[in-house]
Amino acid sequence: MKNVRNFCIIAHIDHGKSTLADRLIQSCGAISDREFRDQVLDSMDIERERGITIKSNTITLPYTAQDGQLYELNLIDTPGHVDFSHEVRRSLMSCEGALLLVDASQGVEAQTVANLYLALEYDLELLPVINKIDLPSADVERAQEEIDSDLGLDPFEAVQVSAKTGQGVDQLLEAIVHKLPSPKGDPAEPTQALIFDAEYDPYRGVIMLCRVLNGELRVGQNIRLMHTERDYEIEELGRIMIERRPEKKLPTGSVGYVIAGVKNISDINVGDTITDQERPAHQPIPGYREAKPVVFSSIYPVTSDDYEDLAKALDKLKLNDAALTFDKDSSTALGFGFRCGFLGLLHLDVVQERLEREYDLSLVLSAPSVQYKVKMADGELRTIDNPSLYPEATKVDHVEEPFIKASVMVPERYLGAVMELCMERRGENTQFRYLSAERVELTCEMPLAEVLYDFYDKLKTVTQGYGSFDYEMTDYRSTDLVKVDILVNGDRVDALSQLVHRDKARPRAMKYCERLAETIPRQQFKIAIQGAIGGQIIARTTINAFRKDVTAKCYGGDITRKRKLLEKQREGKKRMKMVGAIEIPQEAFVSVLRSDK
Amino acid sequence: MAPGSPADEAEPQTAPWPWRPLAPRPEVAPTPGLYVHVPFCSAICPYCDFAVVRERPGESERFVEAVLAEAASWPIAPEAPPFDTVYFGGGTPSALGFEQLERLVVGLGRRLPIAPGAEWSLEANPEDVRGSETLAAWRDLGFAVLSLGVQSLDDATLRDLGRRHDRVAALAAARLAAATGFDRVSADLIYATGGRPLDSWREELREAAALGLDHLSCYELTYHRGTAFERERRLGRRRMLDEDARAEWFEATHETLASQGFEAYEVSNFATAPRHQARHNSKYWSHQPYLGLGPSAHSFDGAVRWSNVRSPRRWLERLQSRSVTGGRAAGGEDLPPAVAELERLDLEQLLLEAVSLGLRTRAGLDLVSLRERFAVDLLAASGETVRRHREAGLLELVGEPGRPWLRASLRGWLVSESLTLDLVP
Repeated sequence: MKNVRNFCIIAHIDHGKSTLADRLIQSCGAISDREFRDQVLDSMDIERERGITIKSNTITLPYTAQDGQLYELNLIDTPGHVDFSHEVRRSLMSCEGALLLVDASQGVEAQTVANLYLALEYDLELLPVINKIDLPSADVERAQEEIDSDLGLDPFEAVQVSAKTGQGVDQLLEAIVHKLPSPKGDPAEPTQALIFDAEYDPYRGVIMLCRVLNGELRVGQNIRLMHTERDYEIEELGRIMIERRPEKKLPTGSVGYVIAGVKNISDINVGDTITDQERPAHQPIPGYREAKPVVFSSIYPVTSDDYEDLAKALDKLKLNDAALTFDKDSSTALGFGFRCGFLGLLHLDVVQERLEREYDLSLVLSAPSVQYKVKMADGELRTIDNPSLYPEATKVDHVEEPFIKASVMVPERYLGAVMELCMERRGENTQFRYLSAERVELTCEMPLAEVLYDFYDKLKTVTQGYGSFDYEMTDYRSTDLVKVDILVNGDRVDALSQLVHRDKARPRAMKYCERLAETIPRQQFKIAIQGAIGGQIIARTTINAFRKDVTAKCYGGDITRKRKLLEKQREGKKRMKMVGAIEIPQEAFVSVLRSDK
Repeated sequence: MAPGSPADEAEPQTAPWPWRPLAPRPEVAPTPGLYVHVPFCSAICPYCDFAVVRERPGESERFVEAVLAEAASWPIAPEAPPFDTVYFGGGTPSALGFEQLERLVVGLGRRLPIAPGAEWSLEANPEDVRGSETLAAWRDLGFAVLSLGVQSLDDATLRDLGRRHDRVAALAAARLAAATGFDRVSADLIYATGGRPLDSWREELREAAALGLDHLSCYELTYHRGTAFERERRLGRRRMLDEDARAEWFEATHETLASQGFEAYEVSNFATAPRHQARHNSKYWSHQPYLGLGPSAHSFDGAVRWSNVRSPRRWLERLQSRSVTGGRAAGGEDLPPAVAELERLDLEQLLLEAVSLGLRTRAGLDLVSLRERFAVDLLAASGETVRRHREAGLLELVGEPGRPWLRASLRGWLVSESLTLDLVP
């Protein structure tokens, strides 16, 4: 146990976490150069392309240190985005130490700080690492200053590396061995192992990734999952060295995988504690939290024929993504689809992209919504995330919406613009503190719903890309919520209804109306597009009737040409959705809804 | 057996191509029309996208022989009914000399079954009308219908359109023609060319209506791909009237001509009496068969459409080479020498055509005959659509009990394309 080091790398997106992980793997010889692909741990295409890690992975690296001893380095690769902070937490709970990665050219960012606090919460030993020192724009001194001022860590402890070139990686491996503690834990205690991740293997079922805190796990052991109170027998366990390597047991302090005949990923909860059936632990490992979706959106296939494929694809995604929820949903305008729950906007993006890319589906997503707590006049409390389920306004006593604590780190010159943006997004209790002479951290409390609507883009724009953002959910607060409907010649387009704060209702409705007016083609009659709260019209545009489509001449030769044109138009028409007597092309929904994020 | 005279054609299946063109089909009124495309023009108009060329010396003689060769190559089924209309269009048929026209008229009559009472029509440019003698000669050749390419009575517009005649020539030709004793004299006019007020067009229409003509064709200027006008439009040097304005000009055209005693029997065609409606062109809108000769000419036998090689010179080469076959149809069969493309239409395509063409006519769609041809009851299948469009004043249900016709109103005509797609979704 004393030669084991369990650690993770925490960093802001883009700061080179995955590249560094690759370099460590290569340096330890866990994988030959021939087998090496960039970012070995990020196995999904999207992860590799976007350079972000979504699912955490783990790998055991044998490392012979300069003292001649063989060490077992368990690297736990953590997701780098706020949506996945529950996954980060579980990963952190399995470690004794963390490499805190700082980009030498970007410096400390909001997420780095958030991750630092998380790591401190779990009492991890932190090793600052300054990465990308090979870049011409690298400013190591400034990074050191920020490590000192923003993070309160010793800047001279920081190891300077270039994950890209491999410079400094040897020193880093030595620092991991010497500065990070070995695991504590009692082999004699009843078994306690934390499930910090799980994945689905079509041949073996669920593969649980665990950290053994006390006792041990062994093949044939009868185990119990303490939160779900389910019993299983361990079929296989072992370590992950790029591939699974079976062993007889996993001792105290080690990290590895367990296969125990679990059929579905939803049968287990990540964060749960594995114990021994005959000699159970007194209590599970603390800190267990279920990952709950906070953002909801309905997903529809662009062509209704694809509904079955969408259903299958979601089922498959769900095998590996316990946090994704979905239920059947239907819309008059868009047909059958699914109401899906996500951990955040990025999670939504990732799911959408995987569905479109890996399953070749073309999708329309309704405006993302948060979950509201609706107190009815009769005292009943309802939780509502779908505008179509929102009760009549007269029956509602009051509504509460989720709030977040948002943190934005930004060079001082953009402070005014960011404050303005936060105000406009109903931010409260805005505070800021200077991290250094030029850098400010601004925190404020704001509704989660305000982040869902183009907040990232706006922030990037007003800070010219220098602002970084992070948030955590805090509480529910009272809000003045209204349901905005979009009417096309008086008929409600259910897929476009949304729940918004009263102050935002008019501009939002106007934007939808205008965009629809741009994308719905002129038809045989005038079309009124309106935004309404109940019976009250708050926005309006019109599309004039088209006047003329008949061709002047139609003789012998033109008939074929004409017919082919009509056939083409007819194909286009078949893809239209009817709302009342109005034909709305799918592109209109796509354009309205895609502009939303 | 090589293509020969129709009299030898006892076994149509032995022809080098497998279908039997112009065989009577029970679902089609069995009176085919014959079209001859004369591709020569003295200059190419900047809006025109027809298959036209400037004639090289001696070319029109070779053209006439080639048309006759093409006519002779068609294996007309012996039971096929004779052609009852013959239409010389172009291009500029009036640019052919009298002898050439005569050779065509006589030669076609020898090679194809043309009914004794067939209606012969000739398109002519005003500048080719050199006096009453020219007109009388055409009439005496057997042309009962003269269609004058007047295009405009406004000199500025004529210049803009690149025409080779002026207002005076146009008026003179029309007046002379009206007095020559043709069964029908018609004039073509083009509107919405831009650069003039709507009222001057109304005035022009009234003037044209007072010339003693029996028929007018009024076309909105169309910007066809590949034309000089379209290129200028794309480059921003020429502005097309916007949709609302074009609709306004269309309505003004119809209102003005109606007030002058011209009834619109098709979207762009007007006649002073039902007997003056163009018999040949009406075949296009009522799905009757027709055979086209000459470059780019199109043919239809009730279920198959085919078209000739578009380029006049290539068409000529194909016919002069005396090869037995031309290109290949999508089905793999060899095509006759002049034919470039052939398409067999299924019932769904025929229905789409029948509705879109029928809606262009004032008579509209004969719902009973549609039901017989396509086993589709439009009133049942698209009842809700019909009701909605009738309420909106776009469609009208007329005819006698048991024999309903569905037709587009004037406003319906403007949007007849979308009405078609609503009726046969």
